[in-house]
Parts: sequence; structure tokens; C-alpha cells
Amino acid sequence: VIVDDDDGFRDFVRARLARLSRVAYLLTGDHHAAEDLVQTVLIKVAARWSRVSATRQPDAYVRKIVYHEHVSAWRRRRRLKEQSTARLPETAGRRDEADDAVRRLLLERALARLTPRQRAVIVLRYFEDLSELDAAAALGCSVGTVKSQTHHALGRLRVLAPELADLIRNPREALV
Amino acid sequence: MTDLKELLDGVAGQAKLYDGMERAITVARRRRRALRLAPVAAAVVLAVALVAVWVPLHRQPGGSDVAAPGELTWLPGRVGVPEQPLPPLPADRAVAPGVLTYMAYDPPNFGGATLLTEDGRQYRLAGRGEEPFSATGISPDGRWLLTVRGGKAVLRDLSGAAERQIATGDGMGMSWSPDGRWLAVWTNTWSPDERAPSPENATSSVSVIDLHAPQEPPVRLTRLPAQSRMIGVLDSGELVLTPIDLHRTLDVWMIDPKTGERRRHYTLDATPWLPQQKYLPFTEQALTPDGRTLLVRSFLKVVGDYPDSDDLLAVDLETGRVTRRYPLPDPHPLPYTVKGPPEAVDLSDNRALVAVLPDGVLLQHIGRPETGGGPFVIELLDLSTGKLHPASDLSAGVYRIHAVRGG
Repeated sequence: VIVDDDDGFRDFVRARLARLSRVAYLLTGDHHAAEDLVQTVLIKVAARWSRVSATRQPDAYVRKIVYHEHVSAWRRRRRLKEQSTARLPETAGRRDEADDAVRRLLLERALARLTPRQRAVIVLRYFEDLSELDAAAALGCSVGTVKSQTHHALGRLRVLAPELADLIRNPREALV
Repeated sequence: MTDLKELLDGVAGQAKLYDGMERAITVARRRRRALRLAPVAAAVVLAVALVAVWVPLHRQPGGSDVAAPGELTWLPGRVGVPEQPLPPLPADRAVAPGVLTYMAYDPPNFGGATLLTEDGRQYRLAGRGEEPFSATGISPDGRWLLTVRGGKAVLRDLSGAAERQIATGDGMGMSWSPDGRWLAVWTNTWSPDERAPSPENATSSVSVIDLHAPQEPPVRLTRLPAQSRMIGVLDSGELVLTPIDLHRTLDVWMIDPKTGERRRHYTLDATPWLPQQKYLPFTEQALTPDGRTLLVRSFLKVVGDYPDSDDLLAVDLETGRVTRRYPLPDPHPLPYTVKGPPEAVDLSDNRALVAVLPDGVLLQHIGRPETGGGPFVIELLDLSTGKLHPASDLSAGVYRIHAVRGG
């Protein structure tokens, strides 16, 4: 007999919704798309909750769905429209003029021009602080792919937002 | 000083709380209800349509196509043997995660061992005439390939070129934890003058490797329960052992992977579950990923008047009771002949437990090609629903399956 453990699902979601929302926004850069992403993920997790909770690694499972769905949704959206960057500043001022809000906008604009995989790997490695191995598990690819995607993503961010080049560095490089 | 993480935190701080929890529950309930009521014909039509669209768009080289149902997206729905000679597994670079290993029966690739990777490519592990592998195994995440040949167990990192020997012995077996973190290699060694080596007179040890720290040397455990065998490794790293010689009771030991100490010990009375079976060696055993339930299956399809002996039984370790019975129906229970090399063999129709993964239990089923696939079909048993899904059909040119990811 399968029991629908809705309460267990509610507890799980309440504890993680804020984090999930932040990741979704980082991945999509858009409130509507982020809301759609979170909704889609929650529906998928709710439908399989008995299995997800039985794995003892629900977070890893949910993370995998988030990133997989992010890439799939991006492909669907791409067919419908080009991403708009109209609300973002055309150029940035010098570094000493750039306040936090401007730097965030610059980063948002640069993130929006990464491929979904590159964007995902940046969020996994530098926002979620995952190891290369765990990031590879979430993306369903090899560690080598994560390494190369990270390298390319950071390089592209530096090109797209040269004003932030000295801030966009691999934290591990900074520790050396 | 601001760095990338702080910048990302700042961007993420603009997120709202996208609370779709109750809607998700409502939709999930509706879908579950719909699934129970939906006509089977509609599902078949949809599946056919999806396959018709998917196959032409995503055909992979090497004859692998059609994604498997359920969560096993890494397992192609069909595997065929390429007609061209296969390249050897590159020793100096990474390949995609491994899926399974098999032996082909047709030229030019017969006689050796072949690795199929997640991108649909296939590589020759050993060619005809080379010393064969006595065992191969692929980690649940597909990253690691273990091969055993000539008494040496070698671990290859498929995400790079690293390879190293991790154990030696006369007879070996392996288990991966469901999350892929732990690998345990069981080794039996016999003295040189042993005339009739058997598990009973072997000196056993287990080499345990934490794959999160693969550069560390394996921990070798020698103080094991006498006359025991390994049936699995848990995500905690604990080794699961049972005795070789079983009668009406079944001991299950959980062994600390670092010290070899016994952490837990269960003694189960099998009389209520397998009342007609006197000897439990004719059973297959594994543990669910949470370490709480023993999965037991008898090899004997009919024992006396007991018709369900081939079901998979879930036994709660704490209570010793059967909590669920998973029927494994078989519409084609006849033996099947597979042609060489080196000669044709008769395969008795049966199922073998391949691996226990978070997605369910993987089974290898030898069936009849003319009546619905095979001779080799990889099946996924969903432990939450009890449904048995055909996951991969290895019908063309496959002589033997060596290993599937997770086993």
C-alpha cells in the first residue's frame, strides 16, 4: 500500500523553499521564469515524493530535477523569444563608480548571456558551493565536463563583464 | 572584498518566495488519480508517438537509442553491437560515464569485453585471445570501472585517465554503495596446495575504498565473520555480510568499513517467508539503500506447492517480517539458445539481481526474443509501486552481460 505522505512533502518544501527560490532566480534571471521553474520542480517532486523521500538524499534528487528542468525550460523558451536585455544598463561606469546595484546588474546581464549549462555550473559551484563531483552528479555529466564548463563560464563572464573581471575569479585560485 | 559568491548572493537576494507547494500537491494528486484511471491504450499510443519522434532525432552511433523509462535516463532502451571493429578504451583521456559491459558473439567484436558509455559509444576492454576478465563492475554514477583479470582488481576513473590496482587474490567480488561513494572488493585467497578451492576454505578479506577520496589507499579488512560473504555496501559505508551456509535462519551483519567491527547483527527466521525451502543458499539477497529492508528471492520457481517462490520478498530487518512481496511474472519461462563463441549455450530463463539503486532494483532477465525482447533485458523494479519496467533490450549480438551500472 502506497501512502501519500503530503505532510512530509510540506515539511521538506517549507525548509527549502527560500533556497530553492533563490537558485531558481539565479538560473533564470526572471521572476516569472523562476516561479515556473519552482512550480514545475515541486510538482515533479510531489508526484514522486514516496520515492524521493525513500532515497535518503532528497536534496540531491531535487537539485538534479532543478538543473535538468532549467535546461529543458530554457530550450523551450528559446524557441519562443529572444531574451531581452533592454532593462539592463548598456554600459557600466568605472569600477569606483559602480555601486553594488550596478555590479549586480552587470552580473545579471552577463549571466543571461551564458548557456544554461554554463549558468548552472556557476550557480552550483559558486552559489551552492558544491564540489565538482557533486555538481557533476546534479548535471548528470562527468567531472571533466564540469571543470571545462566552469573554466569557459568564468572566462566568458570576464569577457561579458570586464568591469567585474577582478571579482570574477575562481575562489580556489584566490586562496593559492 | 566582494567576490563572485557575494555578487551571486546579491543577485539571488532579489528572488521572491515562489510558493507553489499546495498547487504542486493538488496537481500531483490529480496526476496520480489520472494515472490510475487512464486507459492503457492511451498510454500505449502516447509511448509509440514519443518513440516515433524521439528515435529519428536522437539516434546514437553504435546502435544505442531510445531512453529508458523511469529515472534511468543513462540506460539506452536498446543496445546493439556495432558492425565495425571497436576502438580500445582510451588510456590517456576521459570518456563518458559507463553504462554496462558485455561480450558480443558476432565478428569483428566477439570474444572480448565491451564497454558502453552514456554517450552511446562503445569501447573494447579486451579483445579476443586476450586474457578474459573474471569480473567487471561500474559504479552507480558511471564514473568508475573496475576490472578483475589475472587475480588483480584494477580501478579506472572514466572521467580521466587515472588507473590503479586496488586488490589481488584468487577470487573476487565487488559491491558499490547505492550513492556510489563506497566500493568494497571481496577477495578470497587459497593456499597453493589447496586442491579444491571453495569459499569454505578460503582466507577472505575486503578492500574498502572511499571514492570521495580515491587517492587514499584502500582499507583492508581481514577480521570478518567466519564463513561469510558480502551482499552489499550501504551509503554509510557499512559492509553487509551474510553466512555462506544457510539453513532456516539468516544472519545479517553490518560491518564498520574502517575498523571491521560489527556494528549491527540481525538473526532472521526464514520459516514464515520461505516455508518450503530447506536451504537458503538457493536465494539471492540484497539490502535496500536505507539499510532497513532485506530483499530476498528464491531461485527455485516451484518448490512443492509453493507457487510464489520466485517473488522478491522485502523483509524488515527489525521485525523479521515480510513487508511486501514483489511478483516477477514471466510469460516466457522457456530456455533459450544463444549462439557462440565459442559454442552455443542454452540459457535457462531466469532473472538475476544486478543492482539496488535509489531508483529501484535492476534485474537482468533472460527471455525469448521471438516473444517480446531479449535474450537479455534489463528491468527496473520500482520498489514503491511494485511495477516492473523493461528498461533496456540487448537483443542483437550480445552473448553475455558482464555488468550494469551499480553492479
